[in-house]
Amino acid sequence: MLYDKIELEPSESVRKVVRKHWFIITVELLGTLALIIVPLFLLLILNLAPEFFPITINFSSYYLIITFALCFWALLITLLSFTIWTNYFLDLWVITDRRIITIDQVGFFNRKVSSFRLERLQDIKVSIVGVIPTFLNFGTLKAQTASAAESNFVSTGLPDPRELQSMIQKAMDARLQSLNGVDAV
Amino acid sequence: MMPFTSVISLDSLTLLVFYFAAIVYLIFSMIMYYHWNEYSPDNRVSKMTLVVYLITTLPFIIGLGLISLIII
Repeated sequence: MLYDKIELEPSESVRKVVRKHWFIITVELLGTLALIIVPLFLLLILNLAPEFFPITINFSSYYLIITFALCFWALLITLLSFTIWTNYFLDLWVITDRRIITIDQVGFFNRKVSSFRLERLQDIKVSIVGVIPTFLNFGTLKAQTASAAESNFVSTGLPDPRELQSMIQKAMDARLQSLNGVDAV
Repeated sequence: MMPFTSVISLDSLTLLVFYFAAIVYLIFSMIMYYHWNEYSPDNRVSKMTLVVYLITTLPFIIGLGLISLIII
């Protein structure tokens, strides 16, 4: 499982796990599933408008081949849909009381895992652009750290980004306070 | 140039496509299983996804196999 791979520190606790907004996955899945009807639509056009397409297909004698082709196409689309679902579910931000772990699942063979400590966080920016993101409350969250290399962490389509920003801010303050407390002792 | 259907019969082509689909499906299923088993933070969702995956995709591959058998 994922948390075995991340290897949380002793007494480190996960505060929140964030995925992209449901609207993102819904649009992607509906768009992909709509492709299933494309061959049926083409067959319908070929059948209904023979004057525009001078190809005559004898459906009764080729129905097995047509069913086979439709079945093959539907299988490919279903596999594509599961790829989209996998990329959606495994692409996440894990916010603990000590750090933020970003897992960017671009594809089956393209996975980027980055982590930055809350005390190194310098700035968190939120942007909600567009009508649908404004109404459904999702947007982009950009976190900048004090580290020189790869100092920006950006994720788009995160739900309730302002609440997330405030939560990270509070976690960062708590972390800094606890570190200062340790220093004082 | 000879037409494609003269080089390879429709029956053989169907069987070839079925073998191709079966191999792709097998490899894809292994990749899916590996990813959900290794990287998922939620065991319940992983199991549910894999079950739904099998329920939705197996009928297609079985259908392709049956149609190939009928055609040849």
